[in-house]
Amino acid sequence: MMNSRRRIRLIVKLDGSVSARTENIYGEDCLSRINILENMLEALTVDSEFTEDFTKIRNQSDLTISHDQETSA
Amino acid sequence: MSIEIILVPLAVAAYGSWKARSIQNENVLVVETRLKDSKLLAQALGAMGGSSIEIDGSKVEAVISKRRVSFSPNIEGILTAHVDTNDRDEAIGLLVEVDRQYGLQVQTAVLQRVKDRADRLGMNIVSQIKDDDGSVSILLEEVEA
Repeated sequence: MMNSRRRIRLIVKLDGSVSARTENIYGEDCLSRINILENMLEALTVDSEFTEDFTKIRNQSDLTISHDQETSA
Repeated sequence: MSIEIILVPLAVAAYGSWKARSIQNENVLVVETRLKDSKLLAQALGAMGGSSIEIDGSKVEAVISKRRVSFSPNIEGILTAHVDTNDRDEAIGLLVEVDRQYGLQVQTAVLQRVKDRADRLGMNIVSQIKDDDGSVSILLEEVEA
């Protein structure tokens, strides 16, 4: 069974740069995590990419875990 | 998942690129680096066996491989290196190693920040794994309110 908790996966590279990916955080709610990560890491976002999930879910008023399970497969 | 981002620590110039130039009639090679933090730089120089390491504000000096190297900030706070040599390849090789060691210091600092701040930001560190390429993968999980 898929874990539905809100998660952030970080990869801290040898040069100190960081890639981050949110999981189970939908729509514009995930935008706040950018600021949190920048403050936590003392870093600047130089690139970002919204996945298909972002645009799909932000247009729906009813966000459900089952939707995430379908789209994350 | 709904967003993927790339972050560059403030200690590193986000869009910096190496530019080297020689000063005519002087045995000095000048290289514009992407380094910004003099303290981390001093640690990097120490880690690679540098001696006579001195920090004066944002300026750093050291002797590495019998070469005196000094770093001073430009108007944007990015450090410019001056290597006392007329051997361009030697100087570039030396600064490539400085850059590599500096990156390791930045990585260590970033990992420490995650460890120190995750809890305060309502997150638990579920796992931390060092990958084969030296990267470190961390899984953070938000604490349910």
